[in-house]
Amino acid sequence: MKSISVQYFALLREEAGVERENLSVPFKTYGELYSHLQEKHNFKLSVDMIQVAVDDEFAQLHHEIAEGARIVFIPPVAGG
Amino acid sequence: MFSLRSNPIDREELIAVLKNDKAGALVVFEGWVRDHNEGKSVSSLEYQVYESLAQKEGMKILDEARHKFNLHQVLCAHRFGHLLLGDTAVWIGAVASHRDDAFKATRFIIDEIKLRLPIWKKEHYVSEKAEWVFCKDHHTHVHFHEADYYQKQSKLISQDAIKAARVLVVGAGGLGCPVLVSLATAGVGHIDIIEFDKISLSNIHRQPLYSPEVVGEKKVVVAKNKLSALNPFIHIHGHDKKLDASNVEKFISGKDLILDCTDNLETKFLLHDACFKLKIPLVSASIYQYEGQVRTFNPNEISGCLRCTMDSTPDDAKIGNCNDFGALGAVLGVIGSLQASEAITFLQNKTNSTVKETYYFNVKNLTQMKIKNLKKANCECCNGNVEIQQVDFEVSADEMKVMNAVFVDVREMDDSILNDYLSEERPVVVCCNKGIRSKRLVQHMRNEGHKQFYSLSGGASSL
Repeated sequence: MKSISVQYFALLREEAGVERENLSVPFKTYGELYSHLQEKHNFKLSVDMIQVAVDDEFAQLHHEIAEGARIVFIPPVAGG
Repeated sequence: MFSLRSNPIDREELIAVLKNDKAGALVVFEGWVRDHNEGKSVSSLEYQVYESLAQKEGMKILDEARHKFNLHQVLCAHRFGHLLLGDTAVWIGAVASHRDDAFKATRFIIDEIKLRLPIWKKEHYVSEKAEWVFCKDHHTHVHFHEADYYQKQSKLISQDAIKAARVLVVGAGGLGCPVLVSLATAGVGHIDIIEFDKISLSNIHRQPLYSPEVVGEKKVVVAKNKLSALNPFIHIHGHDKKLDASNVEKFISGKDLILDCTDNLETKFLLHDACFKLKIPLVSASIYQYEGQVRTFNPNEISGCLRCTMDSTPDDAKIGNCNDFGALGAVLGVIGSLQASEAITFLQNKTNSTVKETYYFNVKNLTQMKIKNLKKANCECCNGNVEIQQVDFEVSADEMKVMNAVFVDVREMDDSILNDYLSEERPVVVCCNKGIRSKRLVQHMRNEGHKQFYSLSGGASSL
């Protein structure tokens, strides 16, 4: 199990109903974590449409989750 | 009659000329030399005039007033040379059947004279040296100095770099308005704008280039006129077109920088991919309610692209747009101004902060995030190996008019309405609000083999 914090951005924050949460998770990758959270919060957006940032840097969804990671899931935003 | 005089103006003589039995009103305006201006005591004035031009322009103004306000007679005399305190510098008399016209006409004439006549004034002060004043009351395009326009920013940027720049702004809406105003007034020398939309009343609260009296007009035309008036020293070209796969490369090539002020992912990704293909830098911004983001893509620097972190092109239908989640002018103003500032920095330095990091700002909480951009090894898009995909089932309002099509407005309808047209032999053009839902529906129909379906690009807002 890894202790992590997850922050949501834009549409995801609205769907999650919280801005951030601290979790203990057994998952290997950020992609797996998102799929879990998608189910938990009923996110509309599938994993291939999401960007993930870890400790203020963009990461790839197949990267392995680091202990203590500060994770932000960022959906595409198009308003203008 | 308009006259320029070196001798004192005789009001009795002028009024005598204006006598007219049809007239119910004479309104006279006299402009006098006063003893102060901007805190300094003035003892006398000297007017210099570019006679031939002033005479012609003065006649033109009186002619305009005569027609606009149904005047029977109108006279104006303007002094030049040395005038003393209390002298009449300008005299206007307007005669009409009704007082309202006469009042309005004199006001109109003096305002236009101040704005359009090439007349300079030198003020002689009681205790200081005399000087020619640059006075907004006496300006005309004839003697604007470009350097004066940029005076207050000259310590911050190199005007030459900005003036030589060629940029394309895609979209003249919520982000486009603040971006265009900032770029134009900063003096970006060549600005191309591409925008297909018309102005609607619900645009104006967040798009301050437009006002209620131009509802229904083309955004690109109104924006160009407004911006040209704001800064007469730059070149602006408007293109009343929708950016698509067939024209994107033509529009971006030869530019130093592209600004993405669009409101949908399809165009954002198209523009992004095309910029990497042709190696042209792009400053992109988007908003969602109170949050905004700004990122600069520089294909000539190793800093990654959208394809480095996103496996597929996201679907607009899944994330919604301003119609769905709302938009506030103040938020667009903040994010658009940041985008413009990043563009100006890029034009100055060939790089900026958002090349390395994407900037996220929540205008409500005043919180920000800076996320370091990621470059995937061997990313095809970063290397310029991008295929610009042609979508050929979207039609514009103009194209629709010449295709003898059946028009189906699905805004108030269920998706299933299209099943009524499965055996239609003519083309079927589907129209929704913004062209996003209709595109999804048409894509689905075409995947099922029904090739008669087309989607109206831009939706009902483009009609």
